[in-house]
Amino acid sequence: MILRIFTSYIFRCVLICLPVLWLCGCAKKDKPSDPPPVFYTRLSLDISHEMNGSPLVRNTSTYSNPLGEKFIITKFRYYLSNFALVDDAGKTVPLASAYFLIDDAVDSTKRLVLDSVPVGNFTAVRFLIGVDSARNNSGVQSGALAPENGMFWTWNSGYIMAKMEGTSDAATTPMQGFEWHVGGFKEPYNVLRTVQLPLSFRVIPFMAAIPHFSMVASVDKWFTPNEASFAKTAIIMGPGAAAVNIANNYQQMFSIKN
Amino acid sequence: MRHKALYIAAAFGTLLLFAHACKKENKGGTGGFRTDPLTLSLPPGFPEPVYNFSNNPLTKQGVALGRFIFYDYRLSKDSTVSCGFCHQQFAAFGHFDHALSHGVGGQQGTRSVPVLFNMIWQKAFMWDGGVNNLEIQPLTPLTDHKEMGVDLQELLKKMQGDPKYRQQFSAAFGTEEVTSERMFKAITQFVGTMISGNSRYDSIIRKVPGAAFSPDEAAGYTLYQQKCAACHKEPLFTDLSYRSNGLPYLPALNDVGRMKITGNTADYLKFKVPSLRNILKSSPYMHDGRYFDIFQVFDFYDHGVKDTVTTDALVRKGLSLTDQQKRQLYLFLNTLTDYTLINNKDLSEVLIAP
Repeated sequence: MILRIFTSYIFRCVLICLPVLWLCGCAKKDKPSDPPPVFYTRLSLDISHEMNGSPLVRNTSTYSNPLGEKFIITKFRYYLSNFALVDDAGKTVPLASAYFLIDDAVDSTKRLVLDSVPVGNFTAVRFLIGVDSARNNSGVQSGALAPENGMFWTWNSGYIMAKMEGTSDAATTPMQGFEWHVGGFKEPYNVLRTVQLPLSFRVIPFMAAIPHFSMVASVDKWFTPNEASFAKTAIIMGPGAAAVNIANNYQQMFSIKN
Repeated sequence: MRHKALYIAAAFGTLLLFAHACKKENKGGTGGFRTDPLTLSLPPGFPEPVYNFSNNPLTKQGVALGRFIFYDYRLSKDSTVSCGFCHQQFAAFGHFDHALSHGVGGQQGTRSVPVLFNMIWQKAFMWDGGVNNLEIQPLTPLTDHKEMGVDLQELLKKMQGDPKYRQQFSAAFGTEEVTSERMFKAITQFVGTMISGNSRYDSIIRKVPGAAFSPDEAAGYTLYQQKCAACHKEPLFTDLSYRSNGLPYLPALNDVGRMKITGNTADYLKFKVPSLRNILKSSPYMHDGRYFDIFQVFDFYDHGVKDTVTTDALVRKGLSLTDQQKRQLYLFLNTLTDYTLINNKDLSEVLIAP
């Protein structure tokens, strides 16, 4: 009788062993001792734009540069990226990779939230004005870096790190317009500039409050200490000495307010 | 025998458990989204490609979307010009019979249309190398006012509003969302499949039985090795460098070449060395398309080279060629025509309903 097999001792053993083996196979692989949980918080950074100490007013306010050239700003945009903190031991702690396009015309872009701030005592914040060369070289990007944002040069690949546009009586262009598009990530015309600002705070484990700081960008710094003249250079549309000159100025424009 | 029924039930239950376990493993976390992966067959003897698809996995659906975009004339500002309009398959994806690129509103650019094949081996794009990645290369013709003249944001809105595009983006990327990143990655996938490495020359090099140069072709190959190969290096038939070949400057076009990109006067009048593959199918010649016939190019190298500060040392004194040598070179270049590229049905135009 074939059914006798079900009563055989060996078969009973196999039958009992099978589900046990199956259960063992299905059991989740134990993780090799989980590392102790690390506490991270966020850091909020509000940016305001000022001209000679007062809030920047686009389109209607007429300003004057150190050369006495009168001008109106219509567009003011720039990238910030590669945020890092410096701790009290002098160590640089990079934060989660993020690229921000700050546009004076869009208030929501002036409120940055930085992620992955670890526990520690921090003394400074550090960031890049612009988009690093790695991103400039690695093909199409999305989000703030998407090409339809109008901050990308197509004929000579690369991001416009910062742009200021407007009109000036001094400009000799047809409609007295000026367009300063500052970009270029290759030597000798590399405009990438790192900024480090003192900013003191402490992150302790399970802290509830998110550290919050205000940063000011003083647009008047675009015109000093290097001469920046609308009469001489109304249009900057590619990497070059004129762009580097402006970048050397605007590197000084940021400060922490509170 | 009392427990027989019990054992049968246990055996059956175990089987069920196994079946269940197997079923679970087959379920992916993709929620039903599935693409068919593609592998490019690269010609033997070619170097490692510069563009790798690690961040843009090649799929049947992605290539199909890229092909649809490539041939969609609605991409241009006035719906008259597609990518394929200037890059014609029968001309090895160059523009037959047109010296300079032209686009919307009958406008003309200042350079000739480059051929599109073996793009994944290029380090940089355009005649001057100004574009640094294959994925962003289409940005230039799309947004150039003299070519397709489109506003990228408007184009994305237009695509998002088209059910056919939404369906194709969904098939290629999992959701209907049209983004510039997806669009450019799809175009890159399609253009990446344009590979030319199967000409009669290739068969001869690979010692395919029966494939051989005629005596004139063989003489032409020897001439090529002596006079052309230093810049038009095998197997791509270009060394991808930028050189001035001594082509006289045209004031009307005022094109300074690579100097425009580097700002370095040493790059004055330098342009990328083009491939000689499919050269007889892709006239006109030179960055400004000034020569319509390959024999004009031979004549130029024989006695037309202008010696300037940046003219390449290899051609500074010209490359003397007798009439017989020109004929032999022509016959050799003819063996570089790749009919599997020109006639590949997977690359041909798709009709786009308005």
